[in-house]
Amino acid sequence: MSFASAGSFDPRGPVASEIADLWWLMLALGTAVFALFLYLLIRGLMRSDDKEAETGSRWFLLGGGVVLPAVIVTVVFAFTIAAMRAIPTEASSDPIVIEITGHQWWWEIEYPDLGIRTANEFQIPLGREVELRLTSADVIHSFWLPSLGGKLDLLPDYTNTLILQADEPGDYGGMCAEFCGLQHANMAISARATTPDSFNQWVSGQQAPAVAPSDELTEQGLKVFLSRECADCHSIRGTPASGDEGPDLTHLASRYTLGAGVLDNNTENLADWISSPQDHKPGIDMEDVELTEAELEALVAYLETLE
Amino acid sequence: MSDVSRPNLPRVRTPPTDPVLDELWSDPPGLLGKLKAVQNDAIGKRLILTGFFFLLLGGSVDSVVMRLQLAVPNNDLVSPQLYNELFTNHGSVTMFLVILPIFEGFAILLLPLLLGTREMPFPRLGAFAYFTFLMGGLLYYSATLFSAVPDAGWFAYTPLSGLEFSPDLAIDFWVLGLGVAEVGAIAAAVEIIISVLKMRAPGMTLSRMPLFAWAFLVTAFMILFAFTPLIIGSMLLELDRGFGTQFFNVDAGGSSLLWQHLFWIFGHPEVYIQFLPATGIISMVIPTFMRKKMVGHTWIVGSMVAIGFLSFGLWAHHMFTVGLSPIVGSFFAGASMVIAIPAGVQIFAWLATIWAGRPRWGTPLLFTVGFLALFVLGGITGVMVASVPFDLQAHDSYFVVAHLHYVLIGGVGFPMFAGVYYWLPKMTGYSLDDRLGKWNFWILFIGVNVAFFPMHIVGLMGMPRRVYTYPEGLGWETYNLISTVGVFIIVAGIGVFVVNLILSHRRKVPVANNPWDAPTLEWATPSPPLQHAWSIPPIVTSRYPLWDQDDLYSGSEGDEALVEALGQWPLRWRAVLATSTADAEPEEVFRVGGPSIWPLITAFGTVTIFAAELLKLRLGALAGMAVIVIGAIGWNWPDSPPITEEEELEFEMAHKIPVRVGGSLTVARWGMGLMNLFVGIAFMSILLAYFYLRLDNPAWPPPGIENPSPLAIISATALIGVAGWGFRRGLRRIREGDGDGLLRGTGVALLAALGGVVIAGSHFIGLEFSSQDHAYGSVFHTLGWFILVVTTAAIVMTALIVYWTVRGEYSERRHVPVSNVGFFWTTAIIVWVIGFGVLYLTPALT
Amino acid sequence: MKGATTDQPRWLTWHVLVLAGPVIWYLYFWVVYLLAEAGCSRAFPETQWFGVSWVALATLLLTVIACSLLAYFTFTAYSAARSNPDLIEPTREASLYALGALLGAFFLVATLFVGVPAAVLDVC
Repeated sequence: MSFASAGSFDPRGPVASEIADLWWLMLALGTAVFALFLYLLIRGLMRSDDKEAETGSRWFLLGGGVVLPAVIVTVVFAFTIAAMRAIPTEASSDPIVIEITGHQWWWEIEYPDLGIRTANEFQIPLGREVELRLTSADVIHSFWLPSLGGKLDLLPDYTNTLILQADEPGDYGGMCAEFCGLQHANMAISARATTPDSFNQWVSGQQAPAVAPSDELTEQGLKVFLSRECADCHSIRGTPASGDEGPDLTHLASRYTLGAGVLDNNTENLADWISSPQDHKPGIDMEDVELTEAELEALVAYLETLE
Repeated sequence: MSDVSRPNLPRVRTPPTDPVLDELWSDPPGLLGKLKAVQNDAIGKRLILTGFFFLLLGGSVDSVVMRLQLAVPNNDLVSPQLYNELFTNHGSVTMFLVILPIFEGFAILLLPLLLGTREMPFPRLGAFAYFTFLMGGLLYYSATLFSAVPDAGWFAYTPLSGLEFSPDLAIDFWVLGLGVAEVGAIAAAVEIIISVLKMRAPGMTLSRMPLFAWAFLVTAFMILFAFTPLIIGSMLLELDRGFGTQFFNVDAGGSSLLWQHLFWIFGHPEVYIQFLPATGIISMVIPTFMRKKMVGHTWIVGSMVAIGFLSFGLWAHHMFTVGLSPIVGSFFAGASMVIAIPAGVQIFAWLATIWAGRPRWGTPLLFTVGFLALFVLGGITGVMVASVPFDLQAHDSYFVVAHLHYVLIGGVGFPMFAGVYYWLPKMTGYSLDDRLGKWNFWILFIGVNVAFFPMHIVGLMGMPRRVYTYPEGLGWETYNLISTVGVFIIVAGIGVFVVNLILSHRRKVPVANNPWDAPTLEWATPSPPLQHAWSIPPIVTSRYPLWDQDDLYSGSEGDEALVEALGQWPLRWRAVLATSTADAEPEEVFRVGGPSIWPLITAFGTVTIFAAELLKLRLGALAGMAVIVIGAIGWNWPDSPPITEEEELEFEMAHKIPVRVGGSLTVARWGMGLMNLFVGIAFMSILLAYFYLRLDNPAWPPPGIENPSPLAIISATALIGVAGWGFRRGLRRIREGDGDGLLRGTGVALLAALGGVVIAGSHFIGLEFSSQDHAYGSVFHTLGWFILVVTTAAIVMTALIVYWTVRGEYSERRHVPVSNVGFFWTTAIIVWVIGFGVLYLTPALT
Repeated sequence: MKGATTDQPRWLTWHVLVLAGPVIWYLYFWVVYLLAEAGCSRAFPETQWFGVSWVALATLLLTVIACSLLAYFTFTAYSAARSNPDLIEPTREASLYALGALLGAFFLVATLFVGVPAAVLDVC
C-alpha cells in the first residue's frame, strides 16, 4: 500500500494547514526577495554607463542590507509566533489519547483509554483532536505525518505530546524522520482517518480478543504459533501468546502492511515474511523461521483469520 | 582614490639579501627535511592538498554511490549498512576533514603575504596542526581496515551511538579519529588569531586590515569556542563507551539530549566557521574584479563579528523537534532569523560594490556571482527553516538537505573555487586556463541546481533524510532521478577543474606579479613568492596599498629605517616583526622557530593517546603522554643564541625596539591567554553538562547517594590559596630583581599546591560513589578530575619554573615564563574555586 | 589607553565599545535560555509571579535591562564615532567606534527578537 500525497503541500488538518499557510507566505516573500536580488545583481553587472554610483551606495546598504531583511524577517517572525500560538500543545477537550512507542524499527501503538494495542497502523476519527504521547523504547525516533502536521521526536527519557486532527478522510502515511539505525528507511507509520461511526466500529473490532481458530488448519496454525518461537515475542490476546518484544498480532489481518511498511499484507507476502524476514528487512530482531511447508501454510492461514 | 586600477604599481624593491633570506627560510631538503618542515607555504599547501584528497575520497565517491542508490525506488545497489556508512562518512569528512583544513590552509598560506609579515607566529605549532589533522584523518579512515566503519551519522546522536546500540569500534573510530583532527583545528586557530592581531605590517591598523584577515580572525575565535565544547562532548561520549560512565544512559540519570546540546553548540557555529572564510575570499575578489574599493568596509566587518557571536546562540534550531518548550523555541527562532540582517548587509555591500564598479570577467568573478545566487537562495530557505512550525515539517527531510547544500556548495564551495582561481597562479607561478575555468563554473553551477533544487520539493512531500531506499508510488521517483543526474554533472565540473590543474602544471605559463591588478599586499610579491615573502617588510598606509600607495616603503621615519634595517639584518636567524594590536606600531623583533622534527613527534604522541583508547590499551595512553611531554620539551628547548648580546643591543638602541632571540614576549602572552581561554571554555562546557543533568534529575544527588563531606576540599582549597599567594609573591620579588625571593615564593607554591592536589585527589579516590553509579557520579568525578588535571598542569609548570630559578635563568628584565605561569595560575584557581563550589555547594540550593 | 571621548570614563576604550554589544547579548541569551530550561524542568516546580509564569516575567525584565545597556553603549560609540573626524580613509578611532555602534545597534535588535515573544507565548 502506498500513500501517494503531496505531503506538507497538501494539508488535511488544522495543524498542517497552519504550517502550509506559513510556508506559502514565506515562499511568496522569499521569491520576491530573490527576484529583486537577481535583478539588482544582473543590472549591476550589465551596467554600461560609467557614472559614479557612489552616492547611492549608502542607501543601497541601508535599504537593501538592513531595512529589507529586517522588515521581511520581522513579518516572518511575527507569523511564526502567531502560528506557534495557534498550534495547540495541549488538547482543548476530550481527545483520543494514543501512546506511541518507537522501536528499532517499528511503532508500538496503544490506546490506553480504549484498551487497544496494535502496531504501525492506527485509526483516528475525523474532526476530533488526537493526543499522541510519544516515547521510545530504545534510540531516538521521530513521528511525522506530513499531511497532518509537523514532526516530533520519540525520546527514551521523555514523553512528548503532539496534538493532531484530521479534517478529511484518508490514509495518511509517514516515515520515521530521525535516523535510528540500520533499517531507519523501513519504518513507516500510517493513520487512517474515518468517520466517527466507522472509527467506533474499528475500535470495537480491535478491542475484541483474537478470533478463535475455526477449522483444523487454523487450529494447527495456532499450535505452530505457540510451540515455535513466535509467542516469545508476539502477543495474541485470547491465546497464551503474550510476548512483548514485537508487535501485537491480535488483529494482524486488519493491517495493510507487514514489517512497518515493507510488504503489503497478503497471503503470499505473509508466508514469505515469516520464513525470511531477514531478506526483506535485514537486521531486525526477528530471525528467519524454519517451518515445514505444512506448518507455514497452517500458520499463515491462522494469522489471516485475525481480523 | 575613488576610481579603479592605476597602471603604475607601487615600486617594489628586490634587495640583494633576497637569495640569502630565501635560503635561510627554506625548509631543509630531503625526506627528513620534509618531515621537519615548518614553513607556512609548506604547511598551508599540505593542508589544502590533504583536504582536497579527503574530499575526493569521501565527499565525491560517497555522494555518487548514494545518488546511484537513490536514483530509483527500492534499489538494492548497496546494502542498508553500507548506505549508512556512506552518509556518515560523507558528512563527517566534509565537515571535519575537508572544508575546515582547506580554509585553514588558505589562511596559513596567504596571511603572511596579505599582512606583510614573513611567517606565522608559531611555525612549529602550524606543523603540529597539520600532522595532527593528517593523523586524525587517517585514524578515522583506518576504520575501513577493521571493518568497523562509523554508521551513526556525522552527528552520532546518543543513545544510537552509545555502547548498547553501537557495540563495535565504529563509533570509537569516529570520536577518536576526528578528535585528533579537532586538536589540529584548534592549534591552527591559535596561529591564525595571533598572526592577525600581532603580525601585521607597520601601519596596517585594524581599520586598514583586509577583510580576508578579519574573516579569519573571527573564524579562528569561533573555532576555539566551538571545537572545545565538541571535544568535551566527545570525551563524555567516549567515557560512556570506554569507562562505563552514565552521561547518556537514560536508565541511570543520564540524558538523551545532553549530547545534542553539546554537539550543536559546536555544530551550528561550525557552519559559520566554514562560511565566514568564504565571505573573506569574496570580499577580496569583488574589489579586484569590479575595479572598485569595497563599499561599506566597516559594515562588512561588523557583519562578520555579529555573525560570529550570533552563531553561538542558534544551536537548538537543529533541535526544534525534540520537544523544546515554546519559549525556548522562540529564543532560538528569533536569534536564527535575525542573522538575516548581517547576512543581508554583506550581500548588499557586495552588490553596491558591483553597482559602483565595472566588471572584468575572470573566472574568480564568475564563481563569485554564482556564489551570490546560490547563497542567497540557500539563505532564504535558511530563514524558512528558522521558523519553528515550518521546521517541524522541513526538519530531517530532503528540504534541509537541499538548503544545506546550497549553503555549503554555493556559499562555501564556490568561493573556494574563486579563491583557488584567484590565488593559485600567485602561489605556483603558473596561470590557470580561463576558458576551462569558465567551463568549470558553468558545469558546476548547472549541476548544483539540477542536483539540489528538486530536493526542496521531494522533502516537503515527505521524504526523510538518511533513508537508504524509498518505496515507489509516492511521487518521489522523478525528483530523485533528476538529482542523481545532477550529481554526475557536478562530477564533470570537478573533473574539468582537475584537468585545468594538471594542464597548468604541464604548460607552465608564467604569470606576472599582479595579473589581476589587485590592490592588496600579496600581489606585490613575485609569483611564486619567496620563502620568507618579504625581505623588506612593507609599510601600509591604506586599505588598498597597491592602488593607493606610491611605494611600500614610505611611512614614519622610524618605521622606514626599521623595515630597511630588517632587510639586511639578521641574516642568520628567522626574524619577524610583532606590531601592536590596534595600530600596528612595531613592538618587537623576535625569532620564530625553525625546522624541527618535534612537532611531528608530539603529534604522534597525541594520536597515540587516542589510538590507545581505541584499542583499550590504557598503558599506551601513558606512553603517548610521555611522548608528548618529551616532544614538548624538545620543541621548546632553547637553541644557543645566534647572535651576541652586543649585536642585539646595538639594534635595540638604533631602532628603540626590543629584539627577542629567545622568543616573543607579547606573542607568548597571547598564546598563554588563548590557552587559558581554551581551559575556560572546556570548563564551562563541563559545567553546562553538570547543570543540564542536574535539571534533568528530580533528586540531586539521587536517592542512595549522600552529598560528600566538603572538609577535605576545604583544606585543599586553603592550600591552593597559599600556593597562589606564594607564586604571586615570588613574581613580585623577581620584578624587583630578587631571585631568592622568587625561589622562596615558587617553592612555597609548589609544595602547597602539591599538598592540595594530593588531599583532594585522595578524597576523590575515597568517595563512596563511583563514576559508573549514576550520571551524578559520572559528572561529579569528571568535573572534579578536570579541576585536578588543570591544577596539576599548573604544578608541572611551577616545577619547571623552580628548576630554572635554581639555575638562575631569571632576572628583573627576563622572566616572561614566570609571569605566563602566573597567568595560568589565575585561571587554575578560578576553575578550582568555581568548580568545587558547584560540586559541593550548589546541591544545597533547592 | 584613552577613553572614547574626552568626557567619557576612561574605561570606555574602543575594546569595550566594540565588544559591549555582542558580549551583552551573548550573556543575556545564555541567562534567559538557562532560566527557561530551569523553569520548565522537572527540578523546579512551576511558580507564578503576579499570576504570570515567572520565566516569562524574568525574561522580559532581562530583555529590558539588556536593551537599556545596549542602547547606552550604542549611543556612546555612535557619539564617539561622530566626534572623531571622518577622513577619506577613516581614522582608527572613527572606524572602530563606528563598528561598535553598528554592533550595538544590531544586537539591540537581536535582543528584541529573542525577548519579545516571551510576552505572547506559552512558556512551557
